[in-house]
Amino acid sequence: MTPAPKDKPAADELEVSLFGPGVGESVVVHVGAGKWMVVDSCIDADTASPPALTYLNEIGVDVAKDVDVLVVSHWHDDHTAGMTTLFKACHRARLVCSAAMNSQEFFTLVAASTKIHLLAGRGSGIDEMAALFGELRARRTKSGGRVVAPTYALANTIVHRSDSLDGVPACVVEALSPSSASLSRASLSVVRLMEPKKALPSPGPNELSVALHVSFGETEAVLAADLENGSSDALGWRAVFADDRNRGKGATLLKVAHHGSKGADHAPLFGGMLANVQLAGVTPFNSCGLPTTADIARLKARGAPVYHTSPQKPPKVRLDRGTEKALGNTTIRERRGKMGHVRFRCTSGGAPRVDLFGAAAEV
Amino acid sequence: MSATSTSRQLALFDEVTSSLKEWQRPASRPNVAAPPAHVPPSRTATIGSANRAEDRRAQVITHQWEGTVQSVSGDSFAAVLRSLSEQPGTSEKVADIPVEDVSADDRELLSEGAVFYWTVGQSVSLRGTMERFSSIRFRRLPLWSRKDLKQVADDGAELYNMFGDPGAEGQASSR
Repeated sequence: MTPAPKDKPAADELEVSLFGPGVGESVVVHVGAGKWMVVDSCIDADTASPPALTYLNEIGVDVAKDVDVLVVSHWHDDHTAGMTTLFKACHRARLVCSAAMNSQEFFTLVAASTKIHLLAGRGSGIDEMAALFGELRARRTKSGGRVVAPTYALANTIVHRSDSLDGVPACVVEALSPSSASLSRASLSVVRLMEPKKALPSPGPNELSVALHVSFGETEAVLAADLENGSSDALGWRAVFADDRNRGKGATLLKVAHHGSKGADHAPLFGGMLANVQLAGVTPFNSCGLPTTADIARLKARGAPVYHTSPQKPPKVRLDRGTEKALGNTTIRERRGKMGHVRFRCTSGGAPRVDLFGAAAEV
Repeated sequence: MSATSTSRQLALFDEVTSSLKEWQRPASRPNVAAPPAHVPPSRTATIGSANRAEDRRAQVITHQWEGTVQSVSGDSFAAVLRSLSEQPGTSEKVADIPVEDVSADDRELLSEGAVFYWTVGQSVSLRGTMERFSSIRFRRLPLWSRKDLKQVADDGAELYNMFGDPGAEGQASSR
């Protein structure tokens, strides 16, 4: 297995690092001049920590000072696990959340998380959000009310901007989603709380995710989160494609949407914004078997090499003979695979290169 | 069936039942956690209508999981499973389960986020006929109380006042 990386990127180098063990994903981005952004969080079972934190510490980044932005693209638990730990460590980081969370209904759901029946102490995505806002509340109290609210991102919100300085190109990170139309569809009304207490109410469609466009000098990247295609031109990737403000945007590097699923693959984009992708990275979602073999074939047919953070299917669980016979054809597998790390680095306008660590491999 | 043969059958049944009870005792299987109180207890003696001795069955559970539905697609659903038969902290598992394995009474409860118990085991009759069973039952939880709803609404309003941004463009509207 490739040893863990220890080298920082150069000041004028864009880095997009993708982590994913089969449950969740996290994306770490060097935006230039030693400053960082982290998008979403998951947990590495071996370390019980967010891999973003482990990686940044290992390459010598002072996370308390040099992580500028933490983005919560949406609140599915496979994208939020460990986010509070990250936020506690990254003292100066500004929190960015999907605009779908900027509603009284969402905060009612956060407040309800302690009352929603959680079995065996197990949490959910909303549980992590409750902890995150609890931490924000504690900081606000300590600072005498000076701590600001998160930035709520929707299409065309600027999430990060840094100017060109000392040879380091300017960097702009802009949200591509969610669209204004999708916010009205957010299924977070209090009325839903009238239903029996479930472990986890449906968090709403993935079209509420914050997908991001990164512009670093002449190099661009798209971090597609879990955004799906959408059922009209006002929603999802269809809205991104239809929005005139996105004409002229491109991407050399791509974090594939929604674990490579067909419902998040909007073909027209690959004739437009994503026409010149040179390197693509994908994380698995083992609960739903994503990406499938067909998904991988479709991604590879686009032309760019595809790198998978954890391509090996987790092993089948061996049970006693009687249980296996009673289960018939139903197969039970481990949920979590091995952690893998796909790292892309590129100077402005330069040829991107890829490094693979842990379980990551080209597919 | 003669009286002698019936008493022999009953003795055999008692022997099987007591050995199943022995198997089930946590001390004899240190890695097996006792199922939580809300799970129907395993039945190791008479089940079903047992007017006739030869109809009685002894049942033993070989494995139990608590599951959460991740997605429903056609005739199967994907679920994350947590074993109730192993030590706490055992890693989570995943499975694609046929919808037909869910009892008809529970089908309406099958939706993303729903919680269920999956019990697998064997039952054996006095005659020695063994049958395997696999049972999926969804959890039924209480409705919210008015007091609960008011509390979370008040707490939510406080959080929104603190961290919401009513002036933000495209602010998600309250219903």
